[in-house]
Amino acid sequence: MKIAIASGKGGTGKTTVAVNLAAVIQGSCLIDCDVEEPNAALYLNPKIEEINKVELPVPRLKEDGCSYCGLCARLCAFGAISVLPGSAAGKGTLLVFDHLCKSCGVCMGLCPERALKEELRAIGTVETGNSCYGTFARGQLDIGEVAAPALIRVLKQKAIYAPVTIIDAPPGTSCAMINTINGVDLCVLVTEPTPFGLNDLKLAVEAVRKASIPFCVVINRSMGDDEIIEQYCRAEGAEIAAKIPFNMEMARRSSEGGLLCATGTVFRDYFTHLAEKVQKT
Amino acid sequence: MKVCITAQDNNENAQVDPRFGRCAFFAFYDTDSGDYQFFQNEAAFADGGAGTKAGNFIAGKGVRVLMTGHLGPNAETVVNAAGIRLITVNSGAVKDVVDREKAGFK
Ligand code: SF4
Ligand code: SF4
Repeated sequence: MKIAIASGKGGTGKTTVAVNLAAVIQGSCLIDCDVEEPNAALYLNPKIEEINKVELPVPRLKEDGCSYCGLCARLCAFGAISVLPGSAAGKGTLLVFDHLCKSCGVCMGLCPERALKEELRAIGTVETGNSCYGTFARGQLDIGEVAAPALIRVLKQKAIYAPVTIIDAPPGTSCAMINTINGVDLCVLVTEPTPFGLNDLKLAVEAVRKASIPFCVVINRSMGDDEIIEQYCRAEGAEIAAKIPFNMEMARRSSEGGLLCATGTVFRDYFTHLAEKVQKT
Repeated sequence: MKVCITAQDNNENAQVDPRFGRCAFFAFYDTDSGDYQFFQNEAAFADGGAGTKAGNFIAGKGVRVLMTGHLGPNAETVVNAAGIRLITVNSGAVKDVVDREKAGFK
């Protein structure tokens, strides 16, 4: 089964839950889809065995042939091309905005002069390997690059899945997050017992419901009485699968890149219980 | 010569819309006849590329001067490549800003 760990915003402890879950489930797979800031590897220390460059096709003008008719610019739904007709004296100009291009191929396919060719543009990497807990895969978007959804789709294809696969989703409810949770069996939404936490949880719940994915809630930095989140979950019929208490020792360990579930620690139980629960769903 | 002013409504008394790519209307002022023409901005609610689409639209209409508040980097590239001169205005009624800047439309 595939379980995505998501949250309406960053900093809730989403990655902490993901890596610890992956570590208590023997022979699991962890996919780090937080491609703008993949840091699950800091906790799991995987050995990376394969690195793949991810490239997207973007249009480029051939040497000649373009009549500057402007059809491609009018057809591009994403505003990624501008065609400026030339003056009597000079040639026109065709501009391609690579960051806006979604590689749909429409412009290249429909140019009446066949004046556009495809060029591959690197957007990031996908890496696969193994940790002592199971298989591992992560995507890393190049700095300044925005094509996270495309990179995530490649990452999800290249990953070597296990009977239980844990996916660390990008924070928020962006296209990247939706691409990540697409096709998973369960979403675990990590939140905090604060007004901000509640607000972001609501957004996340709305997103997973729209995608028709079953979900449960994990309250991180629990104060014991988390009425603000509990009241909402009761009203929405959402299950609270675990409460992870706030604890200085835990915060320190996590910030040092340590796994909370490391053998012998008192925190291990939280994650083994959560693992049992989510696998039953 | 054609001047484009981004506007919040489709008449010359409308306020200037300071956003370029997502403005409500484009007001086109013809310096020869003194006439106005108004176009709804189809790209105002586009998911992406609103700035370049708006730039494509005004460049395609042969605009030479653009009066607006803020241009994103992509829109700016299009407007510059098309050789359109930019005059920054953030507020005021369309006809007032046109009257004020008229002397500079050449
Ligand atoms: S690339 Fe093709 S469609 Fe685009 S302006 Fe040139 S001739 Fe027209
Ligand atoms: S490939 Fe699609 S998105 Fe990219 S420039 Fe061409 S039409 Fe636009």
